[in-house]
Amino acid sequence: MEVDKGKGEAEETRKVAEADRDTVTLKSSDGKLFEVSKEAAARLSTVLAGMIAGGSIDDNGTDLKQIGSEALENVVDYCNKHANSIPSAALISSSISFNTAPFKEPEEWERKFVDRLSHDALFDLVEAANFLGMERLLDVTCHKISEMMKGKSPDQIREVFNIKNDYTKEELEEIRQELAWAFYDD
Amino acid sequence: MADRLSSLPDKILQRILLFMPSREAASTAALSRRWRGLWPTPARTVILDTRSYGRDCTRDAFFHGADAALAAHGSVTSLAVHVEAESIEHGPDCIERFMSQINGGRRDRHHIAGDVLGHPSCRDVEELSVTATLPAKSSSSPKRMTARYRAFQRKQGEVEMPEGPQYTGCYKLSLAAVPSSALRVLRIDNCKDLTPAPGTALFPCMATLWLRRCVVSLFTLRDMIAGSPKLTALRLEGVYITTKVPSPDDQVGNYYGYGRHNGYGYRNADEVRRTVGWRP
Repeated sequence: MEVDKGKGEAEETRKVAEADRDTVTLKSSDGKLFEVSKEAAARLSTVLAGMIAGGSIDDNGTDLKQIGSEALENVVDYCNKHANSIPSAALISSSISFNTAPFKEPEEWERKFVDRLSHDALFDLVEAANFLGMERLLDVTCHKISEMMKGKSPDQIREVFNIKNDYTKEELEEIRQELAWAFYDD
Repeated sequence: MADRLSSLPDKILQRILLFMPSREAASTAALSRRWRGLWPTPARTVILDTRSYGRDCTRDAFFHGADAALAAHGSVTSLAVHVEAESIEHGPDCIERFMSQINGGRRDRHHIAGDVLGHPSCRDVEELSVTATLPAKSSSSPKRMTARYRAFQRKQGEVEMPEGPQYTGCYKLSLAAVPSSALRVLRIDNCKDLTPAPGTALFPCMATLWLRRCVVSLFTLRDMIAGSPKLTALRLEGVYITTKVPSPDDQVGNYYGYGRHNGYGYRNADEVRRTVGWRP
């Protein structure tokens, strides 16, 4: 009796899964396919949520021509990790309370997730998150970049990100005087 | 290597700046022409952090920078103030002295309450966070209170000892100084004495109150809750609730507590609610 009941439930589940798959397939600009949890994709990306709701998801792989395979792999990895992680109490309470950036600290696993990325992979991921409308991933990646800038002089920041100083000496002096309070004695 | 940072759209660069203390965010204008005009950002967020002034943050530099950052925004929606003991002059009560130096009973030129929280740009602040951290070994830890607290715990036998450094709070803050008319979220860390406003403080918009490692009297807390009709979340983390208003001749204070109520989804949520008179 018990066994039969279990079997019946399993079949039922399979039928539901066939009719309404719980993953979506995404295709990178270079033609690679990735599977991602539908629930997580819809929750984390406004663009994917719109596509799922609008029925424009292709079972053979939804084309995301703007995103390379490495970045898309990171996006999918992030979504799947997010689907499996239980948000900490701090995140729950800060996300219900605070709207603005300084209070939206990344979770420990999110920090590790972006820490392991190369310079280029980090920027690919920021661009992908921006394209897909992934607010939380944008916060996590932007937070990481802010960490790379914090505590550094303008010269040091230029060096890390290879920013070309296109100011004339006079212009730079003008800015420094205008914002004198914001500069170290560097 | 290409400059991938400067190639990002304005709104992403501004999002990055939102995570940085205002002083550092403002100074990015000097990077290149691309970076001019991004700060102040439309999110009207100000972060004042002593750590952005290097290892020796003077009060003059901090308060001058605070005034400039606040004034640059006109009106600020979100304000975070952080004083880190490691980045200021050490000593007993260094946080307290940094925030509001008193010279022979007279107020010094600078004061967190008056010059930052009372700044005209802060009138409509919706999210406010005031935090401070002491070095791990601090001479200003209130040992007497801790001893009392331990005794209380032994008696009660139901409250866990706090982990980490044995102190609760390192500065005073008056609720009268908190801009309250538009305030939706208030977070205060490590405040040793949250003093009530004269009369009853009113927080018509406050939805979330989050106190961490603070000492607050039951009366003040009750007043705050009574004055916040829209309160939906109350988070008390390592908060020491005193039941007697300390008087000047009462050196130790009479710290009966409901002790330390831990974190999110408090262990004794019902008890806390009953105690502080909160009926959401």
